[in-house]
Amino acid sequence: MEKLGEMKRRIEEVSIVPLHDNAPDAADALLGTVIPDRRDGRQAMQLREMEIEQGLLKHADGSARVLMGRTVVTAAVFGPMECLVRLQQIEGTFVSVSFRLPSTSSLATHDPHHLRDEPGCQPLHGNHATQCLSRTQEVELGHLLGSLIRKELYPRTAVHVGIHLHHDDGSVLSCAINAAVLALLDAGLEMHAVGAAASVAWVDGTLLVDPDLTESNRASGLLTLCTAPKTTQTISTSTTEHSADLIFCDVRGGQFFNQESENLITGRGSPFSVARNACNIIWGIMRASVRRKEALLEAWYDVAKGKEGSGIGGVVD
Amino acid sequence: MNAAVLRKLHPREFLSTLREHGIRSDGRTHDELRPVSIVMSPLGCGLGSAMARFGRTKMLAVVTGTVVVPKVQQPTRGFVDVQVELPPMCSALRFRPGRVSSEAAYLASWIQGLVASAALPVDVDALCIKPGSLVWSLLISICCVEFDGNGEDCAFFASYAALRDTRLPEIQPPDSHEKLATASPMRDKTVHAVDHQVAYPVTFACFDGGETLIDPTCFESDHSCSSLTILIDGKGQSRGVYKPGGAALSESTLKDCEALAVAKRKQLEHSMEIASREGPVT
Repeated sequence: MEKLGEMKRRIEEVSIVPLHDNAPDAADALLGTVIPDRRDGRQAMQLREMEIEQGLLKHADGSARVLMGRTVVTAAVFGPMECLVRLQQIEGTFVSVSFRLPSTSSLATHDPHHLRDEPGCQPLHGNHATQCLSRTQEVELGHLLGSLIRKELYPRTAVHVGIHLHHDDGSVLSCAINAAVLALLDAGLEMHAVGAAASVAWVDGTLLVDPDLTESNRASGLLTLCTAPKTTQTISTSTTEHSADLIFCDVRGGQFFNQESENLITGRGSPFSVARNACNIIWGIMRASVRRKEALLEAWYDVAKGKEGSGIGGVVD
Repeated sequence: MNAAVLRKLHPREFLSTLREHGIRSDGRTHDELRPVSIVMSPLGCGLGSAMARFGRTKMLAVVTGTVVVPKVQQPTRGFVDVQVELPPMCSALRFRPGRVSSEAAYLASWIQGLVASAALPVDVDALCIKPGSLVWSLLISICCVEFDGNGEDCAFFASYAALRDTRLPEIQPPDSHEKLATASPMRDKTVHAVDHQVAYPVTFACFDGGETLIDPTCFESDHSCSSLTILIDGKGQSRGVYKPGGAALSESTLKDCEALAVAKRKQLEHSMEIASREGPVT
């Protein structure tokens, strides 16, 4: 019985993936240029440390918390659940997203860039309560997650995804997408593909992957990309081959190039291909995290059933 | 069964059958725009107005302005806000009266983002009348008169043409007798950028199998798998890609769409030129 209790505890704490040793070399080789160091010591193509926690909210069907550097986003999935009759769809489920800023988040108290002034985003109850971050991003995320889920398996139901931003340190939208996708996986909803999202910013003539807040504010262009790799091999071997499908793309600011550099989409060092590489790396991280959790759950199940020789050791992929 | 019944009962099959034959329900090919017409100053109100038509989708944009006190940190910058209305008159089945629908909020936020990111550049420093005390705050109100798909492009062209049509008048503050005009030397133009800096959007509806239809109608975009908007500037470079979710798109489809969008920009430029040459409607 102690084994069971210990394993239960381990499942809850171990879905956090340690510091990821992502490989900037492949992407650097693409550009072949010398890249200046960033404020936090990263290379231009280097992602921040990413932490993933799944299943943290007990009352939600699925939940996940993603930390990319200091950006913290929590997502909770409720569903498939009963849907209002006027919103019911015969052929699939109705996906709704709420993208909110809880009153405890840092942005609620200190908002120098007036991000909270968008119309339709006033606080729900009172001045300091939770408020909607962006109606349009809610709509976009709804479309995105709706295309990832196999909607036709859950007709006339609703799936609600609630996303809360706890701390904004850049790359919020990609962090939110990753959290939502992991929460959907945690809820056990069947999906067509697992999408991973990454952001790329163009600051002072260089492309920076996974920008933090100061870099995003100085950026003249910000691209958020979500792709779903088709291959089932390890992603690090397929950086040159574009086998990923584009699911979501959002560009803020249009100044992605100076006079002589390449186009936004095509070209070896273009923002799209750089973002795609970053998405592939993040996809690998997400996959590893889900695998670890699966393996632990399997082992726990074996222990619970009292199987001989079952345990944690040697089960992880 | 005949075509009308098929269209009603099995719209996706109807559309895919048409696509196999290379035509669309209004007789266009997959890479043809609807007839585009842009008219400046159709209304006498406001500082500037324009109406853009993409086939049956018609949007009317009016620019109004008030004089306000600028922000302390930016004493010479004016403001530009965008508001989009999709009333039931434009499509009674889709839009109900009452609070702002999410499509309208999305369009407003999208156009606002284009203005902020200089895809639709407005020289906010030219809106300054007296640094530190008086600046113009412009509001672009876009009202959809009839909605038949491709709201994004139509709203963009309506607001772009309305901005080009805007003339900022001189104002007389109550405490002085002199009349003040905006600080900029080119005071009769609000959109300072030359046309080639403006990024024109081109919208596609994407279907299974990587087929895309440019400038989709309502019927086509309702039954599409996803939508894609590409912004192209005057030099043929893509300045932005918007794909708000929907089915996955392969890279080759994206490149084809980009190439087509570059080709279509010429046609849209031509329409804008005709509009600005013809001048106000009397």
